[in-house]
Amino acid sequence: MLGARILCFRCGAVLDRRSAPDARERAAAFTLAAIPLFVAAIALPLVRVDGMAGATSRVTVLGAAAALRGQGWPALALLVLLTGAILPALQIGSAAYLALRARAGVRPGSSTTWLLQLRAVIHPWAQIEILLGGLVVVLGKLASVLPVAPGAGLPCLAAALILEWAARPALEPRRLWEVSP
Amino acid sequence: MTDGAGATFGLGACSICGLVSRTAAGTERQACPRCGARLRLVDEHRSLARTTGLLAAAALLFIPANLLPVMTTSTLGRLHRDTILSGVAALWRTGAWPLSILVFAASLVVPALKLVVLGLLVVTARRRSTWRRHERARLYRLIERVGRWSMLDIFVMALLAALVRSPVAGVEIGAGAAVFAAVVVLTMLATTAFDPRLIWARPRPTARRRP
Repeated sequence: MLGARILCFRCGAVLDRRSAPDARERAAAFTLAAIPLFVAAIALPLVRVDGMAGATSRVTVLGAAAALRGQGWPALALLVLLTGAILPALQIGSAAYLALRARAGVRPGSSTTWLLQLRAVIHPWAQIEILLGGLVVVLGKLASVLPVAPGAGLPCLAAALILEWAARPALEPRRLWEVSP
Repeated sequence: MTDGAGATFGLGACSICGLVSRTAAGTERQACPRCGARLRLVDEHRSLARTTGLLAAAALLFIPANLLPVMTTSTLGRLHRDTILSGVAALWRTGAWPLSILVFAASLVVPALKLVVLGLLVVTARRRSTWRRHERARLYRLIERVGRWSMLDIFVMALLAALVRSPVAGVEIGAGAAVFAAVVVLTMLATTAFDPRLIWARPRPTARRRP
């Protein structure tokens, strides 16, 4: 049954979820598609303001981090760079590696364990959805005073997030040691 | 040392691949026989000490984080200082009230919730309390899930600082932003430092009264 979950009988936490029979195939496709989309989300402007004193102002994640550094807050810049770009990139990249390995039927090895440990540590710090929330707030905040518009990077970021989410059930750590999903 | 339920039978579950295996008593480092990850046994003292320290630091900084200006906006030479709360109020006044509720929840409710819940969890775990364990487990999962959202305002400030840069308008980040970011990072580290298995620790044997 799809959507079925196994709960811990003591504390009620979710231990495992049933995933679709072709979950591994789909996870591989989703994560591979997420890579170029995330690259585009980093490279393309996320928000732009047209006609500010005759010029167009655009912002990327890297630009936001650079602005913080420029104003004398290097630690804040590093935090934004890590949570908005580097760790999400690691999350998506490792997901693609694990999904492709599982799809090919390669037995999980020491690289799997190492990556899963890394993913568990970075999980709370990879914050694409929160960056997206921040972008929505910025659009709403400036809409009443400036001609602000979403940039081409914003839909790419949203799409990368949705694809990464969709691949998650097949990449549940204990899933990977099962012969078939 | 208090362990998970299986510890009574010399069993421990791997936190990475989920395999339950025998744990040998007395050995410090044990690896999961299937995936090779180090088995993470419950270390009551270490978990509580780390959580308490991080939490105390976060609680102290939470006050200046809300009092210091996080952002200074300049428009046509006029300066306007904003704290976290006045930023939410300004957003409310422009009519973007769903967004102002989102920012209020992420920047004030979520950090305050993390401080209160972790405080409660640390105090009850220290006493090995059996009081409302299910609810406490649920509270831990709640802050684990929503805790990261307090980063929202940091992203907003960074984007605004990069976006609003012209001869007539600008956004300058204030010290409050750095203190607020420290609160966010410290509360997230405190959440991971707390081992939720401590909620289920066996109560200490009560000293028997002599007849």
